[in-house]
Amino acid sequence: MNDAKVRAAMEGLQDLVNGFAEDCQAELRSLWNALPVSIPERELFEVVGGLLSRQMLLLRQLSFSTAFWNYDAGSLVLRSMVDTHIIIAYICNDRSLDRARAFINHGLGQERLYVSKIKARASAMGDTELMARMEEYEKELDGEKYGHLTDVEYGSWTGKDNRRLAQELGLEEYYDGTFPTLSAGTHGGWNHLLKFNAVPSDNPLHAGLKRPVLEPSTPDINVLFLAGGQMEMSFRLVRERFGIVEPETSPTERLQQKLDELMTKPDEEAC
Amino acid sequence: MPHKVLPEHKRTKGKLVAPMNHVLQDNGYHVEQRWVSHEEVVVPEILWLAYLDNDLGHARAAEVVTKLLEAVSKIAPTTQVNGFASSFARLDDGSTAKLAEVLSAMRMLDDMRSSLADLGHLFPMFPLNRLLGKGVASNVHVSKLKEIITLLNDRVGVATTYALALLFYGTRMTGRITINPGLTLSKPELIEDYPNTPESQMLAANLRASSKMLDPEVTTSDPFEWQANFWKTCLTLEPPTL
Repeated sequence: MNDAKVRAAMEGLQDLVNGFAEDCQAELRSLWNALPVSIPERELFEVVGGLLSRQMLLLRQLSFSTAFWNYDAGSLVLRSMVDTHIIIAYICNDRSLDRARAFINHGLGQERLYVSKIKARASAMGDTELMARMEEYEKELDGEKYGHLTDVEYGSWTGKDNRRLAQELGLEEYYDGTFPTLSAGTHGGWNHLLKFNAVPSDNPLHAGLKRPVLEPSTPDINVLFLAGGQMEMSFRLVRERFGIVEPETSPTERLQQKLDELMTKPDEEAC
Repeated sequence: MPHKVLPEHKRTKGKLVAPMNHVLQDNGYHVEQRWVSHEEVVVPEILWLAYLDNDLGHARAAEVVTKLLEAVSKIAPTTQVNGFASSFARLDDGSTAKLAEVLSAMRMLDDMRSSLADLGHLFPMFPLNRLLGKGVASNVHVSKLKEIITLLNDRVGVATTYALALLFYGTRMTGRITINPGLTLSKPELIEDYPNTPESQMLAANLRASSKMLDPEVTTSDPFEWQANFWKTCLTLEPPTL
């Protein structure tokens, strides 16, 4: 393929990806607009809406960042999406409103703890400016819930680890296929480093010594499809929970179709 | 003195318990607390008072509300009606008709009707609709509704403080609350200086603290019928779509 063809193919791909990102945004807009939002149950809709937004925005940002289309950096995004999906599944399962409220309370408690620790540090350092900023932030948090009413829970907000949660939700297979390997990528476990960050020297004098990798892997669009699949699974769960009809096609299906068309375009058109 | 991490929270096995969630309980008081949202619960209840205050002015609004609640306490002395909009749903039809007659004779009903016409048209479930009658359909101003809600969402704002004063001092006319003469609440005239003097600020703080306790059924039900209906209608007027 000559330079012009490569350039044209890349531009075509870029257009597809941009369209995909817009499509995902439209998907969230459509789903949110179909939800039976009510103020007395606002916490449920605020939490579900926020989680769906997280799925969509992670995907959208991934779609614009081809440098993340690999299983090294991409793991960070994918693992976050798996986490979010399990939370959505837990909240959409039953006692949705109570669970959404517990989720909010846990988050507010963690934020209070964080701010208090920063204040303790600022006090120890005599940093009055930081102290004042944190106190201002505490007032903002009061708008959500007063500090003197906010408990701080230790550990997970569900009281269970992700594995147990996934088991209870019937997501064990999903969990086993995603969580451990993506967690290794997120935390930089050796099993991950071995694949992406440490390569054996081919010099026989080095006894197979593994040396650091300097260049990222080649972009792999499958990472984008995996993330798209994550988002769509989450959206499907929410549609099921609220009895919203599933659309005929999904953003990843439409992307695949356009990609197929791009790949089968005659050379002269690509030029 | 160095700052400690959440010094007033109590450490237990699973969590750090917030001060208000352990202080009384630890001293043997059985306390069940409930969060009352100002935006969600209080605003729909005092909205009508803010409309009257906005449209009729402070003095006339205060006169209308106090006379109204004074009349209610004479017509239906055993029915708990106060400044909360929801409480008017407790009046039976006979008492409501009698009240309308009395207000009309005092030349107050028309002022109330003109001020609250928007609420009546926008919200068929508005609890004062039976009292005010259907009225003539007018141009309904959703923009005014939004402006007044926005003002009321500011818990310490002037509009909110005046509406709470109407709620509190109007309810006082029913004889259901008494105020110790030594308390700041016994000096409603301080509100004229709000928010420019410490005394007026103290009065406003007292009004905020006291108002939610005037009718626990209205403020702690989950949610009270009018509040749920109000927000449902609001979301219909302008859906929170993306």
